[in-house]
Amino acid sequence: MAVDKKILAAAAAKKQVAAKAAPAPQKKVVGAKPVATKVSVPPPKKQTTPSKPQPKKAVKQPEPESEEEDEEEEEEDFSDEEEESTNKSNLFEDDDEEDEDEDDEDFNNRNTKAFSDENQKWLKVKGQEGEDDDEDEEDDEEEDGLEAQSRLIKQKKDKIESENIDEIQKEHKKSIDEEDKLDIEEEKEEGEAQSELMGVDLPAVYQRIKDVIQTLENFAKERKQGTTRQQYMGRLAQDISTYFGYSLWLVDVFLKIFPVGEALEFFEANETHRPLTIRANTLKTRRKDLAEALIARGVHLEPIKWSQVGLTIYDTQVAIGATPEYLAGHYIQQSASSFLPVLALAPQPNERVLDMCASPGGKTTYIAAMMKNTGVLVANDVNKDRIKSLVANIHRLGVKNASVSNLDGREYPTVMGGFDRCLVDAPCVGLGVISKDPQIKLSKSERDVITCTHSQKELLLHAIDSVDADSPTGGIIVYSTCSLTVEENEAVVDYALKKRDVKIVDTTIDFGVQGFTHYRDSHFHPSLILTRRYYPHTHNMDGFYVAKLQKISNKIPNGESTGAKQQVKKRKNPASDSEASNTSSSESESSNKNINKKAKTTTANNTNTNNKVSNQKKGKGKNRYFKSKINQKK
Amino acid sequence: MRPLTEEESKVFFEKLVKFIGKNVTLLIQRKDEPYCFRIQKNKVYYVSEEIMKRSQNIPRDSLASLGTCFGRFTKSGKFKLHITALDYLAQYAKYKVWVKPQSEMSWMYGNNLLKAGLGRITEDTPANQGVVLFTMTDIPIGFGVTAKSTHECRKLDPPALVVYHLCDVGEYLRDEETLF
Repeated sequence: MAVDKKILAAAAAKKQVAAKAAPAPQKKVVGAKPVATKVSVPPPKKQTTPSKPQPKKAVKQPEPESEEEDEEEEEEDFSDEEEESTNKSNLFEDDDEEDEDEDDEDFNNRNTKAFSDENQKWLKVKGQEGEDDDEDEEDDEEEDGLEAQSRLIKQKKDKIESENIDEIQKEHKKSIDEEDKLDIEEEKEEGEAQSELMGVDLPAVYQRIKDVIQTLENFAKERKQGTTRQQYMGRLAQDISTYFGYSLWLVDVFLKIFPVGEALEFFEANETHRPLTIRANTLKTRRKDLAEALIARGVHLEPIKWSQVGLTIYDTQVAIGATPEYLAGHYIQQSASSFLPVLALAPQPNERVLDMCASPGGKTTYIAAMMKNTGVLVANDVNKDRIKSLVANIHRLGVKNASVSNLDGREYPTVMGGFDRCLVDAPCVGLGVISKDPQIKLSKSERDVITCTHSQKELLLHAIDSVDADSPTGGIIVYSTCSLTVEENEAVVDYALKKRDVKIVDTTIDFGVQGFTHYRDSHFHPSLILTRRYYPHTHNMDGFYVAKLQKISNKIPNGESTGAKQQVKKRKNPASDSEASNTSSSESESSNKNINKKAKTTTANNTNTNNKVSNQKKGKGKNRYFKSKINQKK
Repeated sequence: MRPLTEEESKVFFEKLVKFIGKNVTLLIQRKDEPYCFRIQKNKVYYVSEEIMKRSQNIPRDSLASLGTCFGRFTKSGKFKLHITALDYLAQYAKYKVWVKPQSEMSWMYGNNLLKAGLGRITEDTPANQGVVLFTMTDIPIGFGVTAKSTHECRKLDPPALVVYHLCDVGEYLRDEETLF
């Protein structure tokens, strides 16, 4: 009998019928208390409640009818028990009417009978609750939800056999599978891991991650005989992807960039948010005055040590994005890492500066502030929707020397050239800002990196061409991304070094990790050591990469040029694009090779494609830049 | 991008004079750099001539903004000042109103200013005069039109209207989609 009930309860929980019934008992409990004292044996709460309406309703309805009803209802009750509990709520409504007779016996009978009834319902209700809880937790961790559910059930039904639990869990799992498609992947991975590891929970996985890392760091001593490093790494990657919820590809990427111990720190740092930082707008106020004004509003803050204008917000009682000071343009919310490229760019007053990928304008307005609203600042962004926030920020912060264009950055030497400085904050995969946008963990793939690197290389070359090497004060190009892959960073800069007459100079920022000069099987120019990387776990800011280039001459080696006339022709042959992507999708290890290959094929194709009409290429081009541009024209 | 026509200039400067009076000349004849007004997609921009010349390279459809936007011409040919002009209006305003701290937020949510929130007001401000509003710490937070003169304001009850709302800095958040 007990087993039956449990199964019933599970069924009820599944169908979520009890939702209506759940609030009913509680209400009745309240009303029941005074009546309960009258009855000699304190009956279960649910049953006592009907006795309350007794005096009122007894007047209205004759007794015999109610008795008949009673019997009928009882029969129904049993049938309900056996079949399903869908009618439960109705049942109890009916109970109110039933109980209009005052026979003690009858009452007691019903009590006992109803007790089981009640009990069952109670079970169902709880089961329902457990289900609810689980659903809430689903998104976070499947495992915990299941455990929690099983624990709940155990508490309620002490005598439940383990088989039943398994059954319920299975059913529950199924329903979740159907409900949440997103979770399916995680679930599968977990499932695999579980089957392999005989159902070990997350803390155990974490422990194993630590153990494996310890072993890997002292491999010669601690390894098990016959287990290769690759096996350990595979195990580690799988566990990290299980524990932190990354795609395996992404885990692989980071394990290649960081030593294993550091990688774990990195993954853990991505789970916490970076401190909120703002930048005082020196065009309108001073950092000291702003800090005083904000402290008066109940904001706890502290200046950023390495910056003249940054403030870290620790705690605030007001919305930091809606204070009068904010609306008056005295500061802008800006992550600490995005100060860095502007510091490296070091724009001077009365220069001409280009910001190629400007939205939403944090860096642009910082540049304007450093130029003290003199000279000419051209802010460009390809995305029309993001232009709005760019223009809004420019006006709010009182920038008066800027003109904003909504163009593809690659049109730039054609539209306007001869700048003193140029900032390329290239669109990237965003692997440095996972703490801001956890979706990146699963949504990004190798394909994204490849498309990004392609446009990044083009943007950087066009930025270099837009700058005048003979500028008395500048000739500086700063390339930055908020991503961490070597393909998007060092490889792009290295590509530019080969293609243009530029050299890497020190970023003048005195902290940060040195860039890679060699990475796996590729070797970059030794001066790439002067570029800087920033990591969440070491610098407590978003992951970032900054490279500062100095243009030596306006000559373009190899006789090729992205100058005004041939600028369009620089576009890559779509065929080579697809080729590269096909080969690279196989294994991530070879991705770097592919990109180098791609670079070569690109240059080879440049000469071939010179004759083709640009419009044709736009039609064929798979690059999203083309698409967005075409859309805009429409 | 083009200079304003005579008709447009008339409408535009009439509006501007309501707020900054004769100081309009200071906008046009600057000592540091030649500045000019340009109209681009119905919006009027106040910009230095160098930036204006450089921006001529950018295709008209792609030019999203240059210098400072003062406002736009409506379809019926009227001129509407935008909050983005506040910097210059505040700099040259003839008549100013200071708002008490407790009424700042109310104003920035787009409400009119009541007598209760009136901190200070320029002497001899007439009724129906364009004024720029400041916080007590001299941060400009918008502009509007007075409902009563300074003299009348002294006798008013606290819930009485003092300044009609035209623009406030809250629009940077509220109207970002439509404003730019």
